[in-house]
Amino acid sequence: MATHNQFPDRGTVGPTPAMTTRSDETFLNYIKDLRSVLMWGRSKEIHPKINAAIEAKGIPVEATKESVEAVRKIARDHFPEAGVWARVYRSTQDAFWTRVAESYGMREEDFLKMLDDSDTMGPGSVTWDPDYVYPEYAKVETHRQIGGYVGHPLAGLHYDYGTRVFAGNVSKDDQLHKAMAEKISPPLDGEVNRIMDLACSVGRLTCQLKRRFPDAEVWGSDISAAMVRYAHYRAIQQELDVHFLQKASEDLDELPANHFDLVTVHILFHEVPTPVVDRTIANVYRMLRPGGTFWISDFPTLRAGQKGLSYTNFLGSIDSADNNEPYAPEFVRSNIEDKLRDLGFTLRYEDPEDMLVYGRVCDKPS
Amino acid sequence: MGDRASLDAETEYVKDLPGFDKTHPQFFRDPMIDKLLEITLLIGGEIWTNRDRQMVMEHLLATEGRVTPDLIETFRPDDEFEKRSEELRLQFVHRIFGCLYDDAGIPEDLNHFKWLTDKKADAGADRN
Repeated sequence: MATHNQFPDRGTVGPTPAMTTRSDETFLNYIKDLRSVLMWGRSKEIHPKINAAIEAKGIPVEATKESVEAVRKIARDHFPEAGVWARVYRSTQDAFWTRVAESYGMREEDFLKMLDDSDTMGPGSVTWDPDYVYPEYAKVETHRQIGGYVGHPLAGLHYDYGTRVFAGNVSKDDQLHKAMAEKISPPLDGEVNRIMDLACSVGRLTCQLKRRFPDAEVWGSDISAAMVRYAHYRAIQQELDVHFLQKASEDLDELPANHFDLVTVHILFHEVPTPVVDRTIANVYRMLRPGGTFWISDFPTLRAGQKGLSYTNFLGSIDSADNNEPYAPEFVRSNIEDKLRDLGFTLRYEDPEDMLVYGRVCDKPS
Repeated sequence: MGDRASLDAETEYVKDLPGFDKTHPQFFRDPMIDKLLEITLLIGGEIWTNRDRQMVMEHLLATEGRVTPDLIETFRPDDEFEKRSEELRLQFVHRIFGCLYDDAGIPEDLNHFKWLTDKKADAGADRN
């Protein structure tokens, strides 16, 4: 990729364009360590204490502004360590998304040209609509990403680098998505000719699915044009023949029925409101061929017991309200398993301990 | 299923959810502490960035005998440089911010998400 003369070409980190300056990269490495030392490394000792206090005070932890403020007040009045945790979370979250956007923003013209050029290149393809009108629910700046998933033309690049900071080393070389793709259960008859990866964002899982099932026709869809355009660029860098499509997961009606052998969805359902979840799973049932498999990786729900409760206390309140995950509380309080059964799915495998990596494995009866 | 108008009507409630809009939460009794802690966290980043640049310059002078802005920007550290830099960065963070948790030391478990890729090979084997 050509870069403006004032910025030396710093290359890539895997398929991801490097930060524009070394200072940006260094700052973001510092933020990553700051979060490890002051936040993630302290959660196990801080969260149980404040959760016990929340419970002792009988505060109903609900997805309301009043409930969240009551939780913050406990931190303010009784647990300064929890205040530190929450402040570090919030301030570093803002810091890294801002820095990523500013750094790539210095070369915005270059990156927009890169995406324009990639649109018509192969292998694979991308289909998107420049006039697409996004639904209101999708305009949330999830995780406080600048512009969110749909409000910035470089949202895909932002997400790619930003999640490297968020998830640390497990995001290196797409390790997590590689691990998931290797463990995803195919249909019981073993036939995998067509795969659809819903809400694919930058296509990490989509590409790993192509690696695992090289002979299959692999598709990735996402509501965000910026995401699928960048996902296509990223797949090209890996020389993978994957097709990307801009489509909201609840709006896939025009895709053929009984068509896909395997449909996957990774961490979408806690980031969309319940009516979208309901429409999506109905669409998936329609799109899968008889005997096809639906693989869902997402948060556990309350029905999973204590594990499911982990998102309803201090972490859940602070993350949903102050890290802009407004739909997560309603997902963890839902019973998606019953909804899947009501549609006709058979749940082959589910384990609340393994909801992210192994997911929920659902089969459409033959 | 693809009826946008009905979806918009059904999701009208989301605008009232906590987290739909960006807000400015307060986690300490005095909101100035929130601001000062944020300022300190960010200043730490600026200091570390300068320190890194100095380390790169010293390394380039020692190995190349010269240093230019382009050489700094395109510098690719070897594993030894990278490992040493990571150690110093962790020490830097702990030295400055350790007092927030009464100098409890650097936590052993720094890779919060490591469990996602560390699953036992046989875990979930019955899912098939």
